[in-house]
Amino acid sequence: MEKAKISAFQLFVMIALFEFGSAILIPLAIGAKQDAWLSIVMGMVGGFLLFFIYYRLYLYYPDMLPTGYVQKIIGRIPGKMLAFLYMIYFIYLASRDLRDFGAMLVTSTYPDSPLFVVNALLMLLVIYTLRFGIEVLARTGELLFFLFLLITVSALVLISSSGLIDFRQLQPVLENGFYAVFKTVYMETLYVPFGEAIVFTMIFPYLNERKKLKRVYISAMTLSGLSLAFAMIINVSVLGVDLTSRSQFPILSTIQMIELAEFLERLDVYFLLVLIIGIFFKLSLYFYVAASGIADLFQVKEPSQLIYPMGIIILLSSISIAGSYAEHIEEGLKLATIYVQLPVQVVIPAVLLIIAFFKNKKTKALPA
Amino acid sequence: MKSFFKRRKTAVRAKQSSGSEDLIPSSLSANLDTIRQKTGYSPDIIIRTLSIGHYKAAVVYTDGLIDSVPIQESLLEPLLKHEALPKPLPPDEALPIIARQSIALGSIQFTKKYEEAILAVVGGDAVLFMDGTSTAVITDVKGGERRSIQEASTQVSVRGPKEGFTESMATNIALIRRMIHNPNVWVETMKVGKQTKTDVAVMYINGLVSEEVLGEVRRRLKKINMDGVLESGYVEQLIEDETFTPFPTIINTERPDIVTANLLEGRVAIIVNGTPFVLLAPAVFVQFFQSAEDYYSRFDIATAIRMLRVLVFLISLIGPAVYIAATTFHQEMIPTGLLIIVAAQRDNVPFPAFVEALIMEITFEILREAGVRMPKAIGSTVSIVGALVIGQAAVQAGIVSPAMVIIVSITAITSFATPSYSIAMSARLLRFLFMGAAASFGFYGVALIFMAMIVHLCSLRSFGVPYMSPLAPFIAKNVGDTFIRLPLLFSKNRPRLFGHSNPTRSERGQEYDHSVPKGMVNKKTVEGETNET
Amino acid sequence: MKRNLIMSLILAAASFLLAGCWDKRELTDLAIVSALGLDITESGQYVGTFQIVIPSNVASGLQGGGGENLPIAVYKAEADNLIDLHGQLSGKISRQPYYAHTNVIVISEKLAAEEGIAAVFDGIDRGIEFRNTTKVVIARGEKAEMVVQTLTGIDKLPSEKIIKMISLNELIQGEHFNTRVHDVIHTLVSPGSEPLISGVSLKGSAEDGNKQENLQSAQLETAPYANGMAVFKKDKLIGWLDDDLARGTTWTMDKLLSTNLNLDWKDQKNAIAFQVSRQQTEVRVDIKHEKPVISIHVQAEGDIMEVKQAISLNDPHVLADIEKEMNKVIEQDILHSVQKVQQYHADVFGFGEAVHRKDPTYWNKVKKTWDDEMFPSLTVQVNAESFVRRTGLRNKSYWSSIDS
Repeated sequence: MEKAKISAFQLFVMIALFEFGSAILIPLAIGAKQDAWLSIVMGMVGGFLLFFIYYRLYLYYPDMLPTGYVQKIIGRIPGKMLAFLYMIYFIYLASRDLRDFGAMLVTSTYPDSPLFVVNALLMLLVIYTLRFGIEVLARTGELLFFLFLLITVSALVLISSSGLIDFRQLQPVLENGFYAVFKTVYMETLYVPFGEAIVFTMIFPYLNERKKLKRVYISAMTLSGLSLAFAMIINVSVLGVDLTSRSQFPILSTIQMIELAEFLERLDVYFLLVLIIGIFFKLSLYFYVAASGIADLFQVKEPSQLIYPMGIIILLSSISIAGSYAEHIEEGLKLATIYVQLPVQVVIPAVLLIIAFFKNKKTKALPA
Repeated sequence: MKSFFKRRKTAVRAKQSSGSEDLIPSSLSANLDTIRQKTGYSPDIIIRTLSIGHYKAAVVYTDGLIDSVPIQESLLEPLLKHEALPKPLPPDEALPIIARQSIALGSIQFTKKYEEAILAVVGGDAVLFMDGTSTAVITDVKGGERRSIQEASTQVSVRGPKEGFTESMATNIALIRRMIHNPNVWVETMKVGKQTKTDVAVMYINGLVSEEVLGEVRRRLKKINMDGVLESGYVEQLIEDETFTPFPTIINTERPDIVTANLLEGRVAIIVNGTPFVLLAPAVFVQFFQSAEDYYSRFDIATAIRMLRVLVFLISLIGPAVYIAATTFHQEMIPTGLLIIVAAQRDNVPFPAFVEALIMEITFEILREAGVRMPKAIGSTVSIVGALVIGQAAVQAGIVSPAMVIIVSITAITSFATPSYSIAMSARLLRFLFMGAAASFGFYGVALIFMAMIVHLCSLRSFGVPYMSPLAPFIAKNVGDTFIRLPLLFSKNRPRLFGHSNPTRSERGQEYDHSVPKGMVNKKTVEGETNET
Repeated sequence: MKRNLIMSLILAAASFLLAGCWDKRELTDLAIVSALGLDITESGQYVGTFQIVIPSNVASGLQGGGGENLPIAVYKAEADNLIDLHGQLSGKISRQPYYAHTNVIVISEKLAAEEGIAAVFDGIDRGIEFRNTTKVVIARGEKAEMVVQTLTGIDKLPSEKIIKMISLNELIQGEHFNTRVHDVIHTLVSPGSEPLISGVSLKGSAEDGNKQENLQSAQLETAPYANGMAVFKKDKLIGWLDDDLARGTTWTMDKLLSTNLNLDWKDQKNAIAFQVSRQQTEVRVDIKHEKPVISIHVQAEGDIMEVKQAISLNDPHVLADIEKEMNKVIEQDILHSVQKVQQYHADVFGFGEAVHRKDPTYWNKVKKTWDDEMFPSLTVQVNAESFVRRTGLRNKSYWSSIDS
């Protein structure tokens, strides 16, 4: 574990940026049609429930990385294996995000550039950042958060002042019944993006004010969840359900619709910066957590040495993860959720919590 | 074995150091001979032999470093007029009495060490040697021709004190002391540089300064091991946290009011003799966007101007890069009308946009460099030629497009509008990096470099203080004086990260005086007093 | 640590130097396509007409250029789809055609009526260069080629003239409006609405429009003008709405910004000219006895601009009468156009969408039969409410002094 401390506000910013990350890019929960926003809000509430599993576990072992306490809960060897699987999972998610981003850039703005180069450049930036450790990442997050707010708010002002928003497109509410919405929640939004915050269990021990954790986490989740829902409302009410669901990157299409004063048109490139910030941050967090976890598992003295080889692994797997973008999305939003995300984010932590509960009861009972 | 070597080494070092502490020989002639020999018979080392009563003595000083009036009136004259002592004493005992009775100067000091005496001579003091004793008297007659106090040339302000520092450390310390009458303003001096023995003073307010920062400053100054320190720039480069960065992590200033304000925030000032530039540490990024005048003008204006400076900094950083990226990668984002105009201008230009921008930026940098170094009389010629070359001829010849000229002029002006010269220099350098990134990857490249710059800035520290504070880490209490400036009424806190030994600037804060009514009708004033009727 | 830093610096520098330049396009390598015309040949092939800007001739005053030279160059290609058109062009032009600044897509009436427009838009929707906000017009009674190549006077770029002309009409008269590519696709895919696109025709001899001589007379011999709105069913053009019918349609769609209405007064036709400056239309759906009833409520306010007889405009009772008269005119206007559109069996108003929003389950039942059975037989009630706010700088007209 790195000798570092992060403040409550820094954790808040990290969670918020992480949740925005790639989720703002993709047509999230569009299976629920015009009720996608509702599905996001419900996913957020589900995310709170998941948080309480992670939070109880953290309370049992507040000074330890999960890679450490898993070994305490289920024994050294199985614990190490399970923790290693989690690290592979994080590397996988990092590759996915890198792919999301690269695909977006290559499709929308750089059609002739190789995906590899686009991804490699972002990877270089991430490697450069992670060499400085979690504190610098957290501080960078604070600065980028302000930039992020500035650009998103200006985007919102531009969209609404071009008169593009037509809230009628959100009607009728719950057209296909409540179940259709609920289905996208447990198939999609619960895990992406809210369950993905399991990565922060590896960050919690760095927090300097433990008491604030619950409040910070819930407020950051609420902020990002509501903003994502709001972004979806804007997308649907500008583009309509049909176009939103047909768009690879609805947010870009929305921004392309801006036409103001015959001067502000095709601003998607400006908003590229927001997307880079989000993805950069999400990718860095996955990467950092995976690297620090592996360093913890294998007792590597200098975790920053792991950064270079792992960076190359993530870069290469981001390219080879899927043949086409369609395959990539299918894999991420359909297959991975049931066979990977559900067990990893919900089932295993819940089982761990139950074991930890009984173990701690026993140890507490003994001395008494 | 190991310990043996170690002991020998220390022994050798001890010998050397004792060698440098040779005592002054008691024979005057031998003494003067040594001095002559050690100074290489330099004619500006003046040795004036004289008799004080029946004692033989000599006054040694360096021509030009001393003030000749006190030497004559307060040193030589009383010594020559000194009446014989009532009873003959050995020189050892006589010297202190003579010095006490006849040297009419403020600061005198006795020494037996030869090294100290000779350093005093070359440092601008006059030294009195007497035959038969190994004690010498060092008298402070420093003076000679120095630049007088003038207006600071690099940090000009419309409002505020006009005095700027000079090359003399004593004057500079005095200038600061004149602004802050407080016995807690402490000064420590040390000599830095093996050959130059430059005086360096560390100044701070005891009780406000952070002990960690102060200790760090002392430690780093002591570690300096250079033969010469000619300007505070040497010190700055030798003690800064990170060498490989384009950003300055120590502030330099020519203005005593800025130093005073920073001392009050708990910073440490480092004053180097021989330069008007005083260093302040620790520095944070936002400080380079602040000028002293911000605090003298009203807060709304100051805030607006600071915002403008951030904009200016951004333009000078990424202005040409945006032009390159927009015209070679993202033509869709340029409004149609503008695109057609730019395209029409570029139609006859034989270079790619990047090369065009590079040519113009480098030409401008050359012109600027020439303008700075030229004698003033020729400077204007350079600027006229430059204006013609950049503005008229290049466009008419079709080598560059008028739009490019506009971009270059804007970046040129913006790089002068940044209040801190050192941060403007950083932008000037980084601009080329951004241009390269824009030329190879458009806005994506620019955004990546920009993010890398932010990461780099966040990773910097100045004497342990994060460079981007109080923005990152975000310290809500201190944000009132960053890129914005809240009214002085609200700025009650010292920077938390290094001003924590005494965090509040005023006990209860400066409050509004509510006794003064603010309504339309001034009810308290007696009717008719302020009414015109 | 130091080595790492230097290594990563070198890596970064190398990647930037070696990487870039795949998507680099210098301005001098681009041919800015300002308008694209699409026709169809007898054999069913597309004919694309590309209006390409010659920048130095448009930005006149620059280095003495501009003036007499033509602002555009027009290229033609023939192929089976849009991408092929682009490819065909490459042998004829020295610069890469660039569509991000294409203002307008002109589709010929023939293509729209026979082939349908759906096939055209996929490439535009999918491609990254075309803007979703590009406007679409139909060349009425002309080949799209002719419209695209006609030179115009005040606006140097013909594409700009077409767009500005239509939006000016939208602003003042409300008989046309600009339809974006996005709107076309949106209405095409949505089952309860159909596209409505402005038409453009040419006056004078279409063949001579592309010559410099066309610009030599004060009154241009050949010039494009806005002419009706094309009504589509699915993706095929099936008819036109002109003048008042078009205005009634924009009114119903709540797209009217302002317009002039002429009222009859005391047996004199068009005696009062009224300018509507603010209006709001609400479409309400009620489902009665398994049948949707559409009620359109219009609120309009504005000024009296001109009268042709002595009307005492300072009398509120008279103004109230005028308002009543206006209500009648508006209601008729809207009703006429609704009836006309119903005859076309094409729900350009989006009544279907309104039903969908109102009652999704009912909509699912009638969705299939909406266009051909439900929509033509819809009961539509119109209720207008108008207000005369001002009467200009005078109250009584000078007619009252002349008459007496």
